[in-house]
Amino acid sequence: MKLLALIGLLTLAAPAADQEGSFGRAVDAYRRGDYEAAESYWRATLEEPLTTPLTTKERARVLYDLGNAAWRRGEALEAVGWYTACIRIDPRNRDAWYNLNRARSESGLEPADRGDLPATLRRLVRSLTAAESAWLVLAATLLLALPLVGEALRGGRAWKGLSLAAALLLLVSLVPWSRRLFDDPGDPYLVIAQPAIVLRAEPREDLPAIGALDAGEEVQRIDELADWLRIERADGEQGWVPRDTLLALIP
Amino acid sequence: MARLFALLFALAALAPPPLFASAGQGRGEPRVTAQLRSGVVRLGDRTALVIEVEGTRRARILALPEVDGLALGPLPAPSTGYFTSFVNGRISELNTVTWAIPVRPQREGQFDIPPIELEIEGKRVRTRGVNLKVVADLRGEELGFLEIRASSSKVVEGQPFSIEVRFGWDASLRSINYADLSLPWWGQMPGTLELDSAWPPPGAKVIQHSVTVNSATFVDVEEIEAVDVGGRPYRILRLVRHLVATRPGLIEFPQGFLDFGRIESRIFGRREKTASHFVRWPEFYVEVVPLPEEGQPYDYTGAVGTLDVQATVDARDVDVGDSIKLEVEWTGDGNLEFFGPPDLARMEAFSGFRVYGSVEDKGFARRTVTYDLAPISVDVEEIPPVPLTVYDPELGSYVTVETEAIPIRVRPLKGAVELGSGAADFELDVRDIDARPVGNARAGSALGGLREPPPALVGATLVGVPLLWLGLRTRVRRRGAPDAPIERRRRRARKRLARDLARARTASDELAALHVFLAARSREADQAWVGRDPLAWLRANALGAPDVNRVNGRGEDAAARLAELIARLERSAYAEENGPVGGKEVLRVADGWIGGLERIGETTGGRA
Repeated sequence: MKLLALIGLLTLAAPAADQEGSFGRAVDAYRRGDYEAAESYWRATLEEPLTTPLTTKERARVLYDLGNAAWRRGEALEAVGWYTACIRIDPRNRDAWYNLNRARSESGLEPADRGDLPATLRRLVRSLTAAESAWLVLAATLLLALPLVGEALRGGRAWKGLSLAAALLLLVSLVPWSRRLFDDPGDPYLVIAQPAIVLRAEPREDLPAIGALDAGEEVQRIDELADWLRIERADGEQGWVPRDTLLALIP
Repeated sequence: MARLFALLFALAALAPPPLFASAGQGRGEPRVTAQLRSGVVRLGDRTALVIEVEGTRRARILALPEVDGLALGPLPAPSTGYFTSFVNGRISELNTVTWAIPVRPQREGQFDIPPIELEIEGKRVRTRGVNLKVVADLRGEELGFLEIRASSSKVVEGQPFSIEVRFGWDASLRSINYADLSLPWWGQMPGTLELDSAWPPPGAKVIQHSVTVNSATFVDVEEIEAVDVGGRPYRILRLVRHLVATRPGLIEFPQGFLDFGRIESRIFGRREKTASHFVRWPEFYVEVVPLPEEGQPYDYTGAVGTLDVQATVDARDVDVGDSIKLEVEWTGDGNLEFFGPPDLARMEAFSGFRVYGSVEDKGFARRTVTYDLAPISVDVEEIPPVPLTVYDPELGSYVTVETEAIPIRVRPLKGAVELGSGAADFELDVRDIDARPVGNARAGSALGGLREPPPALVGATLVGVPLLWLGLRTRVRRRGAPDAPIERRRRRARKRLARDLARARTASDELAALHVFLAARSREADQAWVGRDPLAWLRANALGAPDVNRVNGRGEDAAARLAELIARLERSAYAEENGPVGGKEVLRVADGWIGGLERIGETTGGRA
């Protein structure tokens, strides 16, 4: 029995050790300057079957490190993709934002955050993770419950005013949560080849171009083959592009 | 009878018209006249064609004719008149409309001014034609002098030129005390802009307040050396205007006149010309040609003329980033006010500087631009020349005038890294990787981040809280609005009782406070509990039908204690000393009463 328990523990521990081992090997390779090896180890960290799944923050860190590896390899646009994927799940990662803007600048793209009011509001709404926005809604709801009880038991304008204020606070807190709840992230990909990627009606090189994707453009994957991906642009245009020109933002 | 009729008829025929016509001559046909104020005028003099319409106010001139050699107009607004007269016992009225149309001869000769067409009370009427004779003022041509010349008969678009007016008269004419220059182009020459030149020039002998232009503007003129004309010395005055041509084409300067003579003052301040002479100068032209496109550089900013330039700086030994004021001044004969100054920020030669801006000072004689520069590197050793492309009409080509380079010394800032050859340049780079190991964190920890609550929980809370509120609210309001004054009074009854008991000095005070408390709790008027049996009230007012079983237990105990307390307070109140029972005891019983009521449920209140 004890032996079985020990084997079980070792089994449980092994994948974690491998996972940790892949990450550690990636860091070592990076420090040595072997960026390609570092990238493959970090990819392995993301893709290996996990008994102790990576937390959201840990996944974000690995994506961030993959971005640095791409940057060091001279693939600025690919680095943009990795940093973007990191920020999608860890929106307040300041290092990721900094590196993203650096990589976008190097790639000739506009900054990720233009700094104007709509961009700032958008970033504010997306600055909370799914868990944080859900907890915020819960807290705001419970906060609303207090003045509501007071209003029910005592009435009066003061309790009504407090209830209204708490309701407004709840409404504001609903914005990031509902965005995450109802906004289908789909399967986003980033164009990481320059200057532009030819879009074709079918997955064949000999067909004429029906459009072109710009470097840094985000698209949604609809279908895939071994070497091709069928995508849909923001304006609804669909077509096939080579797989190696796109990077998955939700790896 | 027949004689009588004949007499009456004769009298009627001899009677003045007003007997047969209403007052006012307007019933007759309007009459129109046209005449010149003077049938003979001298060249340079003016007259007026006066058109008068009598007998109506509704008249207008349709058009003025054109007469070669005469300038008619502009058509002035008419003046109207109304006259009444009393003649031989009758009142007559007369309306008139009068125009005085200016007529200015432009040459000598005999002129026929054709009839002028009017519309009078809806009908078209023509005046008679008039004749005008214009003679030269031979005396004026002999005694006076007028010369108007342009500095150049052909200029380039944008090139300034000047118009010099030299005028005067025989120096022996010492009685001349006025001179008026008739210059139609003065202040309103299409195709040109007048430059703000300094006039009169410094050091000139200036005559002020004696010469007018177009009978409207006093101008200062310069008196220059007398000129000998036909063996006689002439006093000569001079006036110069500077213009710049703004578009290609032919600029016509109409003929000008000099009107000079003597004006004397008469009685009542009236002034009269006692001598008047005219001198004419014919029209002349200035041709404006467009700037040639051949050879025009891309950075040409419109400078035309023959210009000089010089530059100065306010500091030549500065630190990196310090401000240097570079003042560039252009002078010479050119359109100094109108060309665009060089933009140093766009010049490759100034790439070692940051250009913060410039301040300009424009004038007829000079153009000064002060640039605010800052060297951004210690490698900068001089302020480069500032070039300006100018079209030189004399050379007929585009030339570049530029300043001399100004040597400067730029020192590095204290503690700053020396930039330039041999030193490392800084670059932007990405931040380092996050090398903290993974796989160890738990969700919900600082490293792992928050664990997400199930969406169902969030949804249930969002829905549940308002529902609970609604339910609670409905239940509470079955007994009445909780914020109604009677409910607030009921809730504050205990606090008020404590306050009143603290102030009570006698059993009467305590009893009164207790009565108020009980009334508030039962939602009644303050005196409702005077003389009331608590137990009987309790039985009568419990929820549902009066039920002995419901009021057993704590409620009945509370009622009994309350009844006993009330009895004691009454006994003390009616006793001589009226001593207080004790606020604490009263409060204790009151709390028991509240608790007993809550135990059995609240009463419906108010029912006896």
